[in-house]
Amino acid sequence: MGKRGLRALAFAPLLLLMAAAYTLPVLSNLMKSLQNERGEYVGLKNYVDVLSSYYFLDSLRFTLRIALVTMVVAMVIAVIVALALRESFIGKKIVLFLFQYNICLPHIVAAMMMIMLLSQIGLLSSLAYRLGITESAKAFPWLVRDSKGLGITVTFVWKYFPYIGLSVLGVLQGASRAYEAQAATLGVGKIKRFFHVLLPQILPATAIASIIVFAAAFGEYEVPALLGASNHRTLSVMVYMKYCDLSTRDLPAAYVMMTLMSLVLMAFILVYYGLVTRKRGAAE
Amino acid sequence: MKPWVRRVILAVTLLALLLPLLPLLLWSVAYRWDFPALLPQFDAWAWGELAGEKVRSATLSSLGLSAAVVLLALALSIPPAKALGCHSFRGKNAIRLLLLIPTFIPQISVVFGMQSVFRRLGVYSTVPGVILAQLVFQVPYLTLLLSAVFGARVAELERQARCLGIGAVRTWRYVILPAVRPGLTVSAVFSFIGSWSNYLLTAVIGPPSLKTLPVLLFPMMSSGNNSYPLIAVITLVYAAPVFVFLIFSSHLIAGSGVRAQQGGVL
Amino acid sequence: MSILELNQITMRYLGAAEPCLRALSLTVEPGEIVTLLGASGCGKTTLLKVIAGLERQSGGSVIIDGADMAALPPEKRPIAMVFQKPYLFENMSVEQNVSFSPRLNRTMDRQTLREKTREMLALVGLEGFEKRRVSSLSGGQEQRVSLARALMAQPKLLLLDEPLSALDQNLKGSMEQMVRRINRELGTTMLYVTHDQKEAAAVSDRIALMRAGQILQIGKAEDFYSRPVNAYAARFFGCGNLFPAQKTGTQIVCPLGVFEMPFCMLCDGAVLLGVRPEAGKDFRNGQFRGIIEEIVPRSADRRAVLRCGETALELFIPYHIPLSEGEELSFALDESGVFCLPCGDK
Repeated sequence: MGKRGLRALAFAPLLLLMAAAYTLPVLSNLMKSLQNERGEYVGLKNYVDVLSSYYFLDSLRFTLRIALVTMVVAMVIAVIVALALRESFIGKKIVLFLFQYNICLPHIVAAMMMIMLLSQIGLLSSLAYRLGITESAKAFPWLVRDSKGLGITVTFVWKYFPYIGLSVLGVLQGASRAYEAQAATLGVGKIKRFFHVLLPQILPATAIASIIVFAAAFGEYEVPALLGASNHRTLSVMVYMKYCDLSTRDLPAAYVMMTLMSLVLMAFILVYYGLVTRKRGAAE
Repeated sequence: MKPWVRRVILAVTLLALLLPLLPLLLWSVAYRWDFPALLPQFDAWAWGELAGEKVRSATLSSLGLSAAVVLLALALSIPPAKALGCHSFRGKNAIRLLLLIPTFIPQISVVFGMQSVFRRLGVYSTVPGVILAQLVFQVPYLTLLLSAVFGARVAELERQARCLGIGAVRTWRYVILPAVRPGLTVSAVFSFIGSWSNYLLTAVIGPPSLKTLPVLLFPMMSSGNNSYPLIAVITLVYAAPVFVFLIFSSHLIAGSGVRAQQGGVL
Repeated sequence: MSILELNQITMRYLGAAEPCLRALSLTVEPGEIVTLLGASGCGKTTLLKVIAGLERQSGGSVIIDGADMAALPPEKRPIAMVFQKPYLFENMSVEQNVSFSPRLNRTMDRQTLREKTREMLALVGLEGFEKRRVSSLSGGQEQRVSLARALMAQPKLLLLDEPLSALDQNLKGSMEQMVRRINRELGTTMLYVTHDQKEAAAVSDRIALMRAGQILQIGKAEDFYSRPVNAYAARFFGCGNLFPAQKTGTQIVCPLGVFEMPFCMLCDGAVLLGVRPEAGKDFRNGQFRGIIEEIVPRSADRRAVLRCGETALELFIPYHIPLSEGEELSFALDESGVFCLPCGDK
């Protein structure tokens, strides 16, 4: 068998797997989104219905906001912590290990920890009461199953900032120091070095990691399902409700939302791909 | 950055990372814990429940399923990873782009489509079906991750070995696999953790008899009126293997994982 | 007033057995190019870093243009530095890189900035490169941009840490000439570091040979040729012919012959006689005789090893003198290439 044939064989199982278990389901969703409950083709009617409905737009806005806030906050915290970490010796290994642990922790574990910590009868609330900051359990801010999605956002940020942090740290521990030394010997002071040399260097890695965090926060199901309120749902929870829950079942709407989510995130893949190829191009 | 600022940031970070663990640990040895007590009334009764049938079978199911997924995922991703990493050919970038898709598209938008397709294929509500579903989210990502490990260096090693007349199988066994072992270990760990953490695919695609730990825990967590001590104990059992794996491979992950992220897994 | 004054600089790293720099003193006059020459590990790069402010010395003072640099960070010192790697900022164009220092410190207005950048690029032979991206440059071009960038900071002292060692051999010659030209045209005082003695000779006004944290000898290239201070210096500059000899009065007696050296300052007794391989002349017509043992071709001549009695003498013999192994060759030695050294300290 020729080289190209052998190579094709190497990819065959993978591509077959993706076709059967991925492409087909996506296409199936797409097809079903163009049909009504009885299976008849209705064109884009379902899309019009969903896109003009209040609940969808509200959920979309809600999900986007959570994802965006998560991304920005996680990014800022990650950069600050990475900058603090890079020069330290004591505790660095522990923090790095904890970073990895955080990232690998199953989502439902993280969610449960946050519920126990942040609920109005949770540990932080008790602490606030004991310290005299709050007067009762109800005075503690509503962070779990709240309609603003704060609990979800906090859990996401807590879980994802180490991912960006590790990425930034990788860059900082590379050649970055040498460039800063060079800038210093050219007479450029600390603050200017930070903005003109350091930040541009960590920006590509930060952007790439942040896009992944955005996508993850956008599409996640488990954390919003456990920490979200019933009157304000993310898209993922919406999809689940519209598909599984008998009282709110609306299959065509569910298929529409699944397809829309896939499309939005495919757009993100292109952004991510663009960022990575540009970064690789610059490095070469 | 001034030393004291650095130290404060690190202390706060450590606190933030470890604090959520505290209530979980405390609840696992609690009998009752009401507001505003800072500590619960201690009683390790929940740990006794671990011996029960439900938890044991859930743990075994999780272990078995994850082990199967890891082995299959590695087997399926090593050949394309090597092709992607070692050789250059047309359409490489297109394939890389294609492999990125499952990383980005969330499980929720695909899982119900999987349900109907798998029903047609006859694997819906079966264990092989769950394995298939998990593989599709793992293999592309692993391929990309591993392709960074199968770099030009491995291609060179292989070429040299073949020049010396060593056969294909022995080249793999004695030259290539040892060279990529750290990367393989990291990938295996990531793969295991990915499968271990999975709730949605197992719950939707799997048979009712397959109760892995997350499938057991999720309803307990979402119902809100279940006993926290029991949840805490099972959660700790669930979280433990991740901790153990990381201790053993942390040094590897710190190296190759970060490098892969630097390259954006491309 | 000298641009640079180093007084008794000592440097010891924490936990190191030996100090890296030992009571080193040096002066550099305005407009000079002084090279710190030495093998790796001799401390030359550390010294440069101490002068730049990237490292703090354990003892001694660094005085630049009359001002003590104690505890000043690099950005506040009137220096600029070019490293072995160009460290060009990849997110900026060539023009933005070169204008980096005055642009960020707002020391020039836009118009002057643009003009000066253009002048500087022309000076390093990169006219028209303003808008080019840094990633499209070759190694030599990158280093030239780095040099232009450092010069734009208008330093009183320019520090160069092995700037040419990563470049191809053929490129080095033109780069060395460029460095000298810049020094002549701008009058910038330079402190240059290298391990290559040919580079040092081509670039410098004075060379300071360093070993184990100290300056062994400082002088012009000719001084190292004719009057190296010890065996190490002689070997470093390519003289392998060192023979034990006895000095009595003005006469040096060694197996090779008897030499008259009225200017030798050493005490009577055991000394080393050094003979430069380039010192051979009057071939087939001289008072010395030797059997050719080995002939190794070089680019412009041959390296021949002759046996004169018990001594093995290495000479560079031009191509126009026919040679064959085993034959006897007579030759003379030019006195500028013969010197005497104290014993010991190889």
